[in-house]
Amino acid sequence: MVDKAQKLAQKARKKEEKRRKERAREKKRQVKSTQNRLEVRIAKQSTIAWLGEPPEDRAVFDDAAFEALQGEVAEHVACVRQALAEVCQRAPGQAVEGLVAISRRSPMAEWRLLLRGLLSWQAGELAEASEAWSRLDRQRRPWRIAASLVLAHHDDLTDLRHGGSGTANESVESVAASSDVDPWVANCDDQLLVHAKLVRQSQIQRVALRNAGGIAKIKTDVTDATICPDHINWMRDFTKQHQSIDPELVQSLNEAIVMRAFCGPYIDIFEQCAKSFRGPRHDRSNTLSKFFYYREGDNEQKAHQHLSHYLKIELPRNAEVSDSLRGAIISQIYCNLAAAELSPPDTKNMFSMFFDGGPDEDLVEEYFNKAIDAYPANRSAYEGFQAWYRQLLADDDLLKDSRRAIESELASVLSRRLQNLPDDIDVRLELVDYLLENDRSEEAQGHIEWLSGTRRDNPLADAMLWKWNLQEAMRYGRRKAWLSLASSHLDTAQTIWPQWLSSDWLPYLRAAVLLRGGDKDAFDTMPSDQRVASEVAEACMKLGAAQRMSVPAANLKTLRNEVDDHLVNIKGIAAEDLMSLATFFWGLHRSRFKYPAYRMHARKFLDQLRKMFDRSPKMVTEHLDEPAVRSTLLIMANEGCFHEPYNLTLPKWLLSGDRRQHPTVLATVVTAVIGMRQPWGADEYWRDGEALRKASQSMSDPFYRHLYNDLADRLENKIREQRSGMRQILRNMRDAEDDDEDDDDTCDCPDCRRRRGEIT
Amino acid sequence: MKAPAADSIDIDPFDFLGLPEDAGMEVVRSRYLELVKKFPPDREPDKFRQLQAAYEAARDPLVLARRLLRLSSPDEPPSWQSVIDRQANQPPNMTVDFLLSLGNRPSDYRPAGANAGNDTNDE
Repeated sequence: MVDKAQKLAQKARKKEEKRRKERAREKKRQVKSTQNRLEVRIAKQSTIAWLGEPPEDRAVFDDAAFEALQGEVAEHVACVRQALAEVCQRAPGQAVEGLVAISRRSPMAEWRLLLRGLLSWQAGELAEASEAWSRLDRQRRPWRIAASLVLAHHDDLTDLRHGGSGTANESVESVAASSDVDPWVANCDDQLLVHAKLVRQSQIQRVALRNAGGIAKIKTDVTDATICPDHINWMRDFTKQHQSIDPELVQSLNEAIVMRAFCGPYIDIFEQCAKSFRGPRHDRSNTLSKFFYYREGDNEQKAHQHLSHYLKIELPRNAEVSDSLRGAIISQIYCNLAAAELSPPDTKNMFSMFFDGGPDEDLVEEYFNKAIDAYPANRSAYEGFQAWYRQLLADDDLLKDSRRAIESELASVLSRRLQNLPDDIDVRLELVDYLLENDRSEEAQGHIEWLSGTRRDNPLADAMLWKWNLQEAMRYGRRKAWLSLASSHLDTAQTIWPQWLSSDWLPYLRAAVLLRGGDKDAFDTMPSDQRVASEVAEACMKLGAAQRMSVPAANLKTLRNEVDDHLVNIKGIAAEDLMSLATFFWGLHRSRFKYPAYRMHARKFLDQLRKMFDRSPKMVTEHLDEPAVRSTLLIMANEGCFHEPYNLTLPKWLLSGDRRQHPTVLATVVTAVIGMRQPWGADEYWRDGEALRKASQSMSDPFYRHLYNDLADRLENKIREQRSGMRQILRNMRDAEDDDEDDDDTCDCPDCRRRRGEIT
Repeated sequence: MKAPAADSIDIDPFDFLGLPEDAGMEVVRSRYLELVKKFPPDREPDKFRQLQAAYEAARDPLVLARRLLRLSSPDEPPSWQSVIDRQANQPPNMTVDFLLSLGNRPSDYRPAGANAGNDTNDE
């Protein structure tokens, strides 16, 4: 039961609550009306020349007066106009720099002073601004502008209106006469005070910024909603009120609301925001955001409608972005589309994992071609395209003709890349390799000449002429009639053999030429001082040289058997012999001269070496400074002895203690990390990349100096790849969680959602 | 040693320049000039090299394009406060017309020589 007193108290509380709400509403109305007054007042502001204003000053804002000027003054006015535009955009550029051309005697020197002070004023350096402006002529417009800006920083503007010291009728002259009065205050008039107030409210107090905090206080009833209808209504009002006073703030909040809706769960809320608020300068209508939104929502058709509209209509008409940026945006969009097409099937969808037919090859090519057409210098587009072709070439079941066709396509991508990015040395080297291997030495010649005429840090580029001679020797080995030419190219190659590469193989190549000519004992009669000590290394050198010199299959048989015999007795081979073989393999790898049978046995020998090292790590750990150990570890890392497709298998003995920081160990670790098919975990090794880069500085061998830097670069790319992949996974996980939550019993019909306050 | 690339894993060109991701070219240049004064090459060679690399990366249309595309499809919703805080550090731009209008005189102003009787000049 409620007694009379309680009822009265209840009534009083309700009345008080009503009064409180009314007061709040009134306050809101007042604030709103103040904002509106400010907006109207600022909108009304326009530059008006006064009677007798100097023509030079008028010319700054009056086109007719500007056109009437001639000579140097006209040039100075043009410079001032441009500089004013730059400074107002807070982006001083060439025009501001060009103000130095205005001499002190020029009538435009006043404007130069104004602009100089304005830059300080914008940077919050009031004292410097005041100092620059103190020399202005009070009869000119620049002084009045400066006075408004200085006075705007006074907290007591209302008092100043009544005469500076607070006396209503005190004259300006008497205030000016007082020595301790601020000269700006002393010389101000009512008009200046009004202007100062406008500046103070819009620039210093920033009414809009103060009010912007209101949006953060709006609560959403639904926990996962990033915005609700109240946010949209608030933003509409805010945009209307503050657009003209603080356009950048309004724009930022407009973009933020669209992006919050983008990350939220409700399509209708996102569509409403995308329609109501302006997007960023490259996407004012939020069409590109709609594309991304619908693509993530698996509405491919709608997504591509938006993309098509964006690419064909909106972006070409967008004058806010430069031509180059436009091209780059288009190119990057196509790169992303190609990457999406190439990405593995959706891991959250088991059906697609098993039944997706892989990427649409034509579509991938089309996307990459469009990406390159739109921005021919887009390196990542070429890299993606090349990686795609290499992925196709990695298929061991590929038919010979198909392989050739893909290799040719890859070469044409390399060629296009070099037309637009001529300094990509590694690409040029790869193309030269392809051209030489495919009897297109004339085409290769141009690239070789280009390489010899430029300065590079890749020693292989310097060795191009050597390589060309060796390749030519191998080409001439194909016909008996050309064998003399083969020998002569070997002679030339010998004279320019790179210092960083062992020439142990050369005598075997010469012997292979003789064998090709019919001398069956060519290898057996080689002088002993030209032969390597390791039998297994010699067997592989002989086979490699013979294969490279096109020795007929019948003659190769005994050489193959020799290598196979070593494989059969692999456990009996001494570690030193295997390391000598590994050094030969490393030379082939570095100079890109691997022979066809290499793949059949190289890894087997290296795996045996790994087993030996695991049993006796000291063979490595106590000899890390020796070149043979370095070559061995690096070829082992390159051939996958220290990693599997998805994880590293680096031995503990290599990673423990101080030796972890040894350049050879660092290079081995980084090579293994780079070699993994998936980049997961790559970022744990970023310090190794940095240490390797540092270590490269102290390398006297140019090859290793280049290699260590290159490895560090490639590790960085791998880490980037990992990060972008991780982002995608997190996004998928979030979507999967959202899908799980969607399975609850909450009804999503418009009536129920309206009741829950999710839509208006 | 190779100069640190601005788009390397550790340095974000826009973070380095202290600018929002969508900053225009003019703003980037202006900020660069400001920082060059702060880190002149003769006194702060390392910092200057990083600044140079960041400036070049921030002007690279491809770097910009990648960033703009990322802005169009964010992973996380931007917080209101971060947007407001960022804007708090960037006072609104004045239009040239507004700035010049601050120098207006009252409409009834007459210069000293024009009509001595009605002179409202405050000098």
